[in-house]
Amino acid sequence: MGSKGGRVQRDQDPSGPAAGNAYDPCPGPGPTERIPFALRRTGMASPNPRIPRTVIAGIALAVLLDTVIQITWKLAVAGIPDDASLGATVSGALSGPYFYVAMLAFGAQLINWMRVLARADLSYAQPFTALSYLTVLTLSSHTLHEHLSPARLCGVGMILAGVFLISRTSHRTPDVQRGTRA
Amino acid sequence: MSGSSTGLALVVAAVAVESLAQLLLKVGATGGAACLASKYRARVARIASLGRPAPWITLGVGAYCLEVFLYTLALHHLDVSVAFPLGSLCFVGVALLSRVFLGEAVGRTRFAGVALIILGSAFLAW
Repeated sequence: MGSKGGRVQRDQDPSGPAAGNAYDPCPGPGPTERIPFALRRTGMASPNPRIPRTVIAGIALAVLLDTVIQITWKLAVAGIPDDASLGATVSGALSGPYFYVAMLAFGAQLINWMRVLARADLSYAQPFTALSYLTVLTLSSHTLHEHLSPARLCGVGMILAGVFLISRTSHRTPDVQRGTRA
Repeated sequence: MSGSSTGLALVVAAVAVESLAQLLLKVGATGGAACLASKYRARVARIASLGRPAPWITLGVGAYCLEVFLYTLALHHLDVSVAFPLGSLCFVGVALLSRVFLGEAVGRTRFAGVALIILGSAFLAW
């Protein structure tokens, strides 16, 4: 663990104010102003109030596009029987519109994801994509009549808690700490 | 090999390839080898073209396509309720690769978050 002993509660100390500002294209209001009222008294107020909005928006868009890709992919192969040959499966998928929507969304996802990764740690941004498990589940439980069992609700809670924990860490490890700069 | 162990091997391969794809895309997104931890950067720097982002992005997209193929194959051998939570092990793979090769601060909080996500996905697929 890279941190100095005794202070490993957070993955990383929020760096000095100068370093914090360096990556933030839109500093916005002061840290305390952005903390939702409900969180101010819980002690869960963000230790890293300087996550750029471009990162937040990029992650949200990634979850949305991931959902679109998964749903359209499912729809593209929905009518094809399981025992169809490879050729029949491919031509079946290509005959409808859904495959092309999925490919478009995949291209958009690639561009968007590269922009997120340019600004945030991979180990910070990637776990947020687990939220698309929940959006897909919600959508398919409406349209495909898959039911929500108590076990599934448990799973939803655990994934939300996991993503929440990761959102408490700092979005970017400073270059000095990563050992990429001498 | 029985059907299910073939399936398990395919899922594990898919998870490894997807984690690698994410690492390659991250290196590409930050402009090439410069974002690697210094000891790996020195080795990679011997190949001049790896200083640019294009080869990393190409390899990353290629690895991602391979992952989709492997996972689809795996689903022919395994039930989704097994394949899906195993597939979410890629969150561990990404955390480990980020820590080792990129020097990211992956501490207890991040690992705990990843563990909850994997447990949660096992419950989702129950």
